[in-house]
Amino acid sequence: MTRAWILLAGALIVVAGLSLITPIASISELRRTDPELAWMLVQELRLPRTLLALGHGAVLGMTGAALQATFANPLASPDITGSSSGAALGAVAGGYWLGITGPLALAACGAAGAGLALAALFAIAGRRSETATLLLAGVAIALAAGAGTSLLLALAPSPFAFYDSFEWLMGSFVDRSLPQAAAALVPAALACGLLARRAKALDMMALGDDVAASVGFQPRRLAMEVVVLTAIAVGACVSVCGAIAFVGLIAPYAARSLTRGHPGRALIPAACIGAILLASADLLVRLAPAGRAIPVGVITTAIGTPLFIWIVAKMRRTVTS
Amino acid sequence: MAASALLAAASIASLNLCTDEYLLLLARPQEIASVSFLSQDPQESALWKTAKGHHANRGSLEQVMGRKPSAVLTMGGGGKATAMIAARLGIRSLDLRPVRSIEDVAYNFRMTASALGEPARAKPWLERLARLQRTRPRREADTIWLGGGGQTIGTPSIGADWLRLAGLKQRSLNGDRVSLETLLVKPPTVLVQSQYRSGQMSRGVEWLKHPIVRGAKSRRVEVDGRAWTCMGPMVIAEVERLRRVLQ
Amino acid sequence: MTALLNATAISVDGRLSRTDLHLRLPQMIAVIGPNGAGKTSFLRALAGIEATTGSVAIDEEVIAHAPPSRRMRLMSFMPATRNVVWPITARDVISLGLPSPDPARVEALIDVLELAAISERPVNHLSTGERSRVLLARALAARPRLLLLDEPLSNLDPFWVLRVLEIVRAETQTSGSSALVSVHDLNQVAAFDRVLLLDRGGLVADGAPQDVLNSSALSQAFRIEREGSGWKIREPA
Repeated sequence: MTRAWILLAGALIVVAGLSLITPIASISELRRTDPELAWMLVQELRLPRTLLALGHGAVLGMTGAALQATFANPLASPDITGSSSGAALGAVAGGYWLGITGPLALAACGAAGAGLALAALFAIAGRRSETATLLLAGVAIALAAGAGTSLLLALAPSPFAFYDSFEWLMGSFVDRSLPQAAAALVPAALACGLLARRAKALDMMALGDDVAASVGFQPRRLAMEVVVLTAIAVGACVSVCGAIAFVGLIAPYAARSLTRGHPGRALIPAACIGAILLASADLLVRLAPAGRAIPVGVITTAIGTPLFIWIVAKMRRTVTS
Repeated sequence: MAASALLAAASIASLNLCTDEYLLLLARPQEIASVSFLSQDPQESALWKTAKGHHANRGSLEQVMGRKPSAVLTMGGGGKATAMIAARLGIRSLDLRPVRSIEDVAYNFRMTASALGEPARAKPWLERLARLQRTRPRREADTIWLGGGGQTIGTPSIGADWLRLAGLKQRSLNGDRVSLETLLVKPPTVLVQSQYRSGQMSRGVEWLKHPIVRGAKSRRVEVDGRAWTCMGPMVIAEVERLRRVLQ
Repeated sequence: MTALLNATAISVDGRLSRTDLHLRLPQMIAVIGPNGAGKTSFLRALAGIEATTGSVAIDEEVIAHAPPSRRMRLMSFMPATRNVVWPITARDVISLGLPSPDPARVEALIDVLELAAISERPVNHLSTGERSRVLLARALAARPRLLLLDEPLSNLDPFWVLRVLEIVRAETQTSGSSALVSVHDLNQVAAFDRVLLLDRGGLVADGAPQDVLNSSALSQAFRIEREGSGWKIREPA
């Protein structure tokens, strides 16, 4: 386990470093002529992008792990439960229609959207439902929220809004500013900190609601807390970067292989793995031909879909009796 | 027959935001049969007050047929239907040139004025254009025209020509987009920033609020983006203003 | 001497009417009753999982006020459902029952319940019987003062039914604790010190096994009556 941690930390540092300096050409040139400007370039352009990629990835990983523990389902994740899409809908409604401009206020709109999506999921599927019910309900909510987002953008006051839908539905870290990064990551960090403290309780939930309750944890309250904290963290990030799929599904899955299956202990490793995954995807995006913008969600979906199918196939073969 | 056609009052319909500009600038109110709906939108046209109250069309001839125009203005071809219907109804169909040079603007003025039956009406505008070209400033400051999302003007282009009349040389950039990195590392001497729809949220408008754009170390001049959509006669006033401001 | 268990006026809306239970000495108690009688509700109310009214105190300590690490040492609950979704190893599941790590204790339990062959297997890949033993080990791990086991003997083959009863007896004697075990098979009742009979949400009999088995309350509740050492369907009156 310690070796795994060292590897994770190493990968994190490498990816973060690469993200800060790629593409290197302009920075190395500036370092010779105007070092202060080189530093500003890293600080004002590369740093927000790096922080957001790592932070959003960590949020998706940790909230994915928490949702999976709460729903007792290895397929729950911010995107499949519809909370990412709900967050995009909330942020778009607030920004394009209600004229909300402050980044923190927009983050709150995102959180509200994510919270409503999760509430809808509870209402439709309940908490301890079968995988099929959970998946169908979550995907339905995600699709509805996505369509709603596109509609709001198509009819928004500005005719340019329609072309923004790609970024909202598939995510982007390009040209974000430090204040935006702060508005997303400070609430997200607070929410994730509170989530991480519930790791032990979530581990006990693995034995069922009754056992967890008998030990003194309150399953319903815990579920509510997970939902609210997830909504805040995901909502804040999506309001700045858009909705990004599959990281919240894959990272917890990988994390649980490190924590020998314990869902609660996997929260922090999932955050690390999520950060590495998303920052790497953002590095890949930079390899695209100049002038073409590939939303980062395209990469995560391309890699995530086959993994998702593989997980589903594996679930079919579990011994049930 | 020809005499009565000449005596009949001109009533012109314009099907296009860019052709609207010439009509609204040259015609008397009773000579305007219809303008495109975009001209009546304050976000799209600086002439919206003039355009208000006239019949609005969505760009097709069948929508203006009921107004019985004597001529219809299109730009870049009106489509087969337009030419056909116009021919059958005896409506003159005038295709103005898409603006690719200052000379095209002059041409369009002359065409519109003659469609109105008074070629002399174009004269003040043509003189203004000629004066601009005669008094072009010697200096050519390194300039970047900035729209939402980093959109900029290509070179060579009509936009670059207009800027040159203001003593500004649009920098040649890769594609029609300027990156935040360029603004930070190699800021232009002059930054001409468009305020087009700046009050309405879009990712493009958000881009302009990035600290790097806000803090760019350039002489910044704001312009009315609406004029630069068509690159037509409305830019004349912009160029004159740019000259005054950058004196 | 302090009361081991003081459960006062516990009830569950619609399932269990107000019931008291007081234990002074360590005992192995069987909880029996027909389906829907409220056995599970009773155990869950005692475990503090679900109760509309009442309070439960173990060793004079109200369990609702105890933090999880303390509560684990006061009481543990084994539910009737053996569902575990996650691929956690049997050994780790047992460790979940301990508030602080104690590998020796885990080894001892693996030994006693003969789980060595499957201790590294993920628990969701085990058969129901194996899973029952693992979950029982988890419930025993912290040596709680009160064991609440809901149908622990179902899904076990005859050897394990007898063996589990032996193990629970041994554990309660070593730590001076008590166990409340709900059972379905009336023949297993003889191994217990005391029997509680529940019917339609109420406690209708409480006494030594033979007394309860021969009682009219049991006969009424189950609609069967004694015939020799076996049973027959009771004729409607």
